[in-house]
Amino acid sequence: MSAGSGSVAPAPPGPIGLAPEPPYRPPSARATAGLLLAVLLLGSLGYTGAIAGFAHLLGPIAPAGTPIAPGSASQIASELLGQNISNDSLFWLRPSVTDWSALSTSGSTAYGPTDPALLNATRAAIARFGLGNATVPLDLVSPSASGLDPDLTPGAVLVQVPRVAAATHLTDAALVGLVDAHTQGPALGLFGPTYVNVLVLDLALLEALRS
Amino acid sequence: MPVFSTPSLIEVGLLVAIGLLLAAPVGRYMARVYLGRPTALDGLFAPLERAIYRLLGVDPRRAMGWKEYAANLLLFNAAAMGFVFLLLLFQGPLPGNGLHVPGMGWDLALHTSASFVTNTDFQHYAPESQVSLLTSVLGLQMLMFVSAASGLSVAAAFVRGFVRRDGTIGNYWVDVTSTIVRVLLPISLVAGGLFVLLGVPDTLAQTVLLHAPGGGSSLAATGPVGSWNAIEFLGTNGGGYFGANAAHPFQNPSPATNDLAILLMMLIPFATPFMFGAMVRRPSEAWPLLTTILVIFLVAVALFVFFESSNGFLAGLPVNQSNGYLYGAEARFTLPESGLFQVTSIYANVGATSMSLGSLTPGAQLVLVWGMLLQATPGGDGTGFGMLLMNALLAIFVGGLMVGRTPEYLGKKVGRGEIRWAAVTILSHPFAILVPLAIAYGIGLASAAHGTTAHAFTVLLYEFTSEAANNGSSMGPIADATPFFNLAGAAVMLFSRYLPIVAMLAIGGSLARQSPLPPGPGTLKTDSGTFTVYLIGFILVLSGLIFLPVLVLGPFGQGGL
Repeated sequence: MSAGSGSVAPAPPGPIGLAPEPPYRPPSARATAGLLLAVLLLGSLGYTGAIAGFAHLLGPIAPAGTPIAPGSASQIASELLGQNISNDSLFWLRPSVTDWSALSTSGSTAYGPTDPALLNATRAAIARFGLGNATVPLDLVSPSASGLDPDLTPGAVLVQVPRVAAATHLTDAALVGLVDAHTQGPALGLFGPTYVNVLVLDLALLEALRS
Repeated sequence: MPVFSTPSLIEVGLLVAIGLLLAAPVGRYMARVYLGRPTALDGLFAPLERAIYRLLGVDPRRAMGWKEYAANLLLFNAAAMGFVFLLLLFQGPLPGNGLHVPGMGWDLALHTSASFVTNTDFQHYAPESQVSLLTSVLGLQMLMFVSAASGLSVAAAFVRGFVRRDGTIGNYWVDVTSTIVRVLLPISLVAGGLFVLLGVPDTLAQTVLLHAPGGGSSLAATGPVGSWNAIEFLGTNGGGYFGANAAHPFQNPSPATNDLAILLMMLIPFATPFMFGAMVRRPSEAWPLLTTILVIFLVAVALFVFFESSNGFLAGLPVNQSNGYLYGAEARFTLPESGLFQVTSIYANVGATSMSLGSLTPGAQLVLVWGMLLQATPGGDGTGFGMLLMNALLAIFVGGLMVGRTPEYLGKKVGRGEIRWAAVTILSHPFAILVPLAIAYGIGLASAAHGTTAHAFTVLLYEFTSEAANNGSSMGPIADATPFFNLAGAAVMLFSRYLPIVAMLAIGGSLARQSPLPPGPGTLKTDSGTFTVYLIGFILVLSGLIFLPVLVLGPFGQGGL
């Protein structure tokens, strides 16, 4: 370190003395090329390799993103990514602006907060569930940001119970019990909402129908 | 209101408190790094740094004046941007391109490379289909390290102006190298590992096959997301590995990863005031700056959650908004969790999104735009703190003149040269936002954004504000992958990044030539509550009120506040 640390010199009387401008050297091309190489080695290759290697050591679960394999190896899904579920005997997810594409996501939805088209789109989403004028939770009839949201609030799942019951001949009580069993509350009572992973719920429902 | 429930208040308070508890030691550690003092892991870091200096052919003891510092920074940033520009153009036939992504058009490649080198990370492209794995890792991720390290280096050089008297402000190559080796890489390694443990995928495979319950299968894009996440958030970069960014369940699968991302985004911006206090050897001087950041930031979080708690426009529909207006939000996060993420991301100029910003209520949109107008509460890594110091210098100058005190800060006189650079920087912000906005309307390109007139205006205002603040979030959908928006956007981002950086270095260099004055009876006390309140008001008025007319046309004009 150069001067400037430690004790403060007494200020000279009168106008402040300014140090002269330090000598100027033109920028270094070698340093530029060298640092580019160093950052590529450290920040791109080394760092990415280290984390990917760590994930690889943890086993096949981490790299692919929490797959769920309810039967054979070919039945791998990811509980993280919602998919298009339109079968009457299963619980449905919320609307997706990207039609559930996991190869092209945008993070945007179509309508501003006071756009008349928002009302029409929301009415159409409500009509899909055929519940008449019953009040539904907003998440069921509104798109997520990702277009891949696999979760719903419990209320948004429970309003679908009559339809699923009619299609599967399971009792309402059995279905409500299944939903309750797959409802997760906030961790430590603080972190996260109360929500249901509908993919996991539907897999359990399929399991229940098989047995 | 359930959205302001006790658990959610405790959670938000807890996260901010943990953020500050982590920031204090990290800030003091960064001060040691930039003062060249010994640190605990020297045995590991020092040999690596020495090897890098040999490769670069630089003498780490050589201290530079501000012009030499700025010239080296500009050359290195230009070279890094040029490398990525070429990589984007020619990625098609290169390896690491399992999805057969074609080369980018030159205007989009220019926008993208400018975007990542300026710490903006505005994405006019779809990451899944327009960037190969090789480009992501070698190109964009490399720039995420370079831009964060450059920003922090500038902050360190600026602060050295207060403690040196020989006119030098440090060595750019040493600052960037030690930032990457001693700050960004170690924290990223820990955070990347945590993301993986919390279920974020991290693989060199580019797709994974998914089978839907009840039949059907589809491919999903994947990749080294855990490592990307860490530097995206820590470096206040904000570019998503996927188009949906932190709303994508692979990037942000659970409340735990959401909280980790929030802490990473807070870490360096909150740590920098502590670094400042330690570097100038007056820790109490950090508090007015940190308090200014926290007051404005926390009010913004509260207002955002308040405005998002319901949208009155839907009152006639049979929908229940008891969890908040979570339209375009993910069900795995509560409104305060989504809101804290979003406000942290915008106010720290990260620009990552976990919500669809275009569908936020007008009041919440206003809160976000306001943060990018201020740029300094806390703002991005390094440069946000630099903007805060500029505001403080202007406030001291104006305040000193009003009450008849000598405008001086930490024993250095705030004179004509410093004020000229600071004023030009503050005025460059409305210039960089409003001029391209006017041109876009003037040449009939306003139709790029859809919806009601006021909403479309907000979307376009947001586009240029985000680029000028080097933020990078978008209030889409907007058809902005066109030559006009690419070229205008690249110009706005480069201008708004490097003009303030040069100004910060120039002010640092100018202050560094002065011998410090002993405090006298005419000295304005800058570590007092009075100064803090004054600074908060000064920033809100100076940086915010310039924009009131356009805010009336945009967010306010949508009604529904």
